[in-house]
Amino acid sequence: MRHKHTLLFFISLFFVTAFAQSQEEVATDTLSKKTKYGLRIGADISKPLRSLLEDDYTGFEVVADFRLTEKFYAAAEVGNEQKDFFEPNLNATTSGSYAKIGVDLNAHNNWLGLNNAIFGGLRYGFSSFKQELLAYSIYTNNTVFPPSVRIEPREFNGLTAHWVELVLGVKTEVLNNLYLSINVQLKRKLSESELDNFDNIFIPGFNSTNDFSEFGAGYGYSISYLIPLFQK
Amino acid sequence: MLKKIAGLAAFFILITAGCSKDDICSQDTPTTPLLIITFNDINNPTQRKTVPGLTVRATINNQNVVNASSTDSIAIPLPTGADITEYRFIRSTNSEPVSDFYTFTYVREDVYVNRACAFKTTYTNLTAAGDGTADWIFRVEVNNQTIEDETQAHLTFFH
Repeated sequence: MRHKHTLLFFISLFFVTAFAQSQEEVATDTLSKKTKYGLRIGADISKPLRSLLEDDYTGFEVVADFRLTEKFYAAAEVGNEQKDFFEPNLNATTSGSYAKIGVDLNAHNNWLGLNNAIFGGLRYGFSSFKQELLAYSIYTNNTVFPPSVRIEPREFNGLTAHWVELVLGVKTEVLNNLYLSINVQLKRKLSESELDNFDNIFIPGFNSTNDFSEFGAGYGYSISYLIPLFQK
Repeated sequence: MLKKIAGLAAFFILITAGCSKDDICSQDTPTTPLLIITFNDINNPTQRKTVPGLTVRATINNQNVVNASSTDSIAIPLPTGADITEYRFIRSTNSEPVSDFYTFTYVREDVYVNRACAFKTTYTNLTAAGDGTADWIFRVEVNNQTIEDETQAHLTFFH
């Protein structure tokens, strides 16, 4: 009788610990291994904000990315912009659409259950736009004759430009599946339409061009929602 | 790490939003060229000859572009808004000043420079016609009908 009870005690102790152990293993499995995969879609909110605040700008941009592997995302942006260039000696306006497509690489190792990103990305950008030269003045160093201002609008249609860009940014999941992202972009022009006796002052998606180099810069601040499709 | 990147991003936005080299038209940028005139000796046409006390005055508004200077070459502006202009060339030696009127005609063209300087005007088919009195300028020769730069003389006056 006494032996029987001792034996029972040890047997149950063994099973309890075994059971507890197996429960623990199941719990760690679900938490650590699976992360969400899906389509993240959103909009750049800095562009509508600039449209409100700046008289010479209107624009919007839709952003999307799709997780391919643990670290890689396919990413794309599509937008439309109009920018006026109203300087004392030159008035011009540019408008058009653009698309950028590429990949993002997340270099951030998330803690359990977090889905943030510090990422670098590459894009190929393409823009289709038109530009209007509205008025200009003639630059001269002499003051003997009155200055000349010409109001002879000329329109340049069917313009295109191509560029590559490097993107650096961070993404934070602020609510479940809702992300805020800020990024900066360094762009290098590959080609652009040549204008007859004028120049591309602005390229939608590329931003202001520069007389002295092929480089451009930009930034984005977007809010996006992840549509979870599967877990891996 | 996140804070550092946010700081870097803010800095980057600031520098890209600020003013750039493009905003100011540099004095070194060739804009609307001046008409270059040299003065040569009528008796020895290949030799430069200084004009004493030369004054050049735009007839349209009586403004001087050259004021009583002794020189053998001048650079004077052409209007960017008219296809014809007249100048009065006055030579003042010890005696009475003498003057000749010359009328320049040309075809204008506006050429894009860059976003800071906007456009410049260049001139083609330059012609020069005197008033026929030849008070001190006896002959004119157009060396270069096209005024696109200021590297060489476009006109030579012989006196």
